[in-house]
Amino acid sequence: MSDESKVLGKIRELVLDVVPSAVLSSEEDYDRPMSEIGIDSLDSMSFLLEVQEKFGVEVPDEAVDKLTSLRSIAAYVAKQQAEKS
Amino acid sequence: MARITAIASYVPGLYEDNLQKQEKFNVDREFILNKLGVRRVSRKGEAEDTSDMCVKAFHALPEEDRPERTDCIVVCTQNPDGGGIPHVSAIVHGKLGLEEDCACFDIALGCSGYVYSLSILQSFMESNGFATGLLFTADPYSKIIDPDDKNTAMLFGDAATVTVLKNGTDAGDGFLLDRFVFQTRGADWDALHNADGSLFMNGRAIFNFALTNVPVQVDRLLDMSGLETKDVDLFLFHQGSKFIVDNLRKKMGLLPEQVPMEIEQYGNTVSSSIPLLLELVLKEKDKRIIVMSGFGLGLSWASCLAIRDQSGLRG
Repeated sequence: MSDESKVLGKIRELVLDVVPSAVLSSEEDYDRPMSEIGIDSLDSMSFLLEVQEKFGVEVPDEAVDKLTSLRSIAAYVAKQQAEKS
Repeated sequence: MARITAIASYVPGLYEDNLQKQEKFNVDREFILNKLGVRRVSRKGEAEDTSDMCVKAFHALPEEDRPERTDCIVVCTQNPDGGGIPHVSAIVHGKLGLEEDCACFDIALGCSGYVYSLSILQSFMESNGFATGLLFTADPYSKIIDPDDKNTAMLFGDAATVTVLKNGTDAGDGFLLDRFVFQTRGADWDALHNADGSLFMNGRAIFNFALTNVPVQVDRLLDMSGLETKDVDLFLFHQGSKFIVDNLRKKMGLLPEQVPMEIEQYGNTVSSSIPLLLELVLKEKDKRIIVMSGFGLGLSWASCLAIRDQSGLRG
């Protein structure tokens, strides 16, 4: 399993903890914009704060616009962790 | 020691209905009511100024709570009459027709302003032997809000409050101000500021700042006081938004009944949000230990512990 896949598994747990109403019923949902799976702009702020704290990475404002889906967030986190290690 | 004995407020009668802004800002009813938590934002009248709002808050005080004489008036605002020249507290003093033996000054702070101002006024009264002080909060952000800015136009509302502080053995039932913690992160001032006449807010930066720092500061305040969260009857958080307050409550593991919310009918009223809550709490005699925490502009955050004391009851 790749680092990105491992992170994606943890991201799934985290998002369901922060936004229990999020819809993650198929693999495609990880690629959809967060607004389409029930995560609004405020939920995404809260979720990204959890991501920063749980994974020990910084998500600057400049990166946020590109992090539209859960998979893009997982890829970003995996890359940041790889660069740190 | 000075204590809070009475609070009154003034919320202007004009409103903007956020539900009518759904299409304009591409948000739904659920977001407005359950995330922002602000159904409508209060707006002062065009001819009404900051000092007028203070005067109306004062006149909302019940007769028995109005001091016969006042030694000091403080106004906490960043949106004063006439750009702050002269200080609003002097204008309020004039409009209330108070005696000349009365100190007046303004405090320019935002969402942490009420907690700061309580400490400043308490110390000022004690060092000068004053018996009675009035602390006004009035920060009508409608003066600087861009009606087309989604981040602020649905959030900030106008309101004013007055808090009566009294010294002395016959001061009456009230809250003693026990302990304070103040912090500032000036490096991030631009997350919330006046940008050429319009309020700018980086909502994500403010949310992260509040959720990361306020719980730590409140824990520090409780540690200093030998208390745990379960010992506190109420946590009066600045009403930044329902979302921020809900998340603070969850992060700190507090019970819903420990964290009151008053934002739906007028919005985030900056330095007035905590006294608007405290005004209601003063009537609940079983609430004895209270933490107040304000956070925002600066970035600045300040918390204090207040303990109800009935030893000064009259009669």
